[in-house]
Amino acid sequence: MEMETVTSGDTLIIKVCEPRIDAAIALKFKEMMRQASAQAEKRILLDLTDVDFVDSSGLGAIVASSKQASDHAFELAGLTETVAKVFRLTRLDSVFVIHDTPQRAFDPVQS
Amino acid sequence: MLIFDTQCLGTPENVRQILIDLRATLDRCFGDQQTASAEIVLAEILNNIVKHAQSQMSDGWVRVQVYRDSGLCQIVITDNGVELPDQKIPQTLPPKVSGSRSDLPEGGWGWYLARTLAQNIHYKRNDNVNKVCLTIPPS
Repeated sequence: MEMETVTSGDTLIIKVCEPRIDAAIALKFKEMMRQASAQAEKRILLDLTDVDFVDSSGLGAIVASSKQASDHAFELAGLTETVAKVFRLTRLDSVFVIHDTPQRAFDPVQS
Repeated sequence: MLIFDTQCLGTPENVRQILIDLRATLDRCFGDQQTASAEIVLAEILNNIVKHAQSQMSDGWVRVQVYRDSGLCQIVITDNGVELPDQKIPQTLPPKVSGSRSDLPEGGWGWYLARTLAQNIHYKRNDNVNKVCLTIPPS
């Protein structure tokens, strides 16, 4: 399970370098997220640009990871088409702040 | 016309490989949305088989067959796990997604996703084998 972390200001960007977050990897994902999140200052940005498939186990693991980081903002970026579809069908897209790209997460907030 | 037929032991790693191989096959025969829907539906059903129907077995197997019939994608999933509760496709509602982060569900979407994206889902059990048939319509 490959992940890369980069700190940008008070945001920890966690990039998942795997094509799938699924039942085969969900537990490992949660564990790695728990460890990676410990470095975060204020906001965690989960970069899913490289992920082209997430099943409901993967969704659950992402939700669990957000709960593990309960005192940080937890946002997503780079949802590819099938991943966005699953977020939409489960209405999880209404619960998470989702940016088109990780770069957009640093755009000034529109008033 | 049968375009995909594979059988293997029921493990999460094997399920992943089935889905990867399935996508490669369906990409050649169907549109993007239909292929994506098929992959999602199959992921949920196969995961349920491995996690629930075969949780107490070491020799659980699954078989996936896909037929192309005009624009329709017909899928047959066979397995030797225990039967579905009440021998019926679960009609569970999706878990409620609202409220605070700590209240968010971490699962329970599987059959809801399958029922949303597939049509004519039928379940049969004969000779200790489960068979689920369904159709993925063109989008």
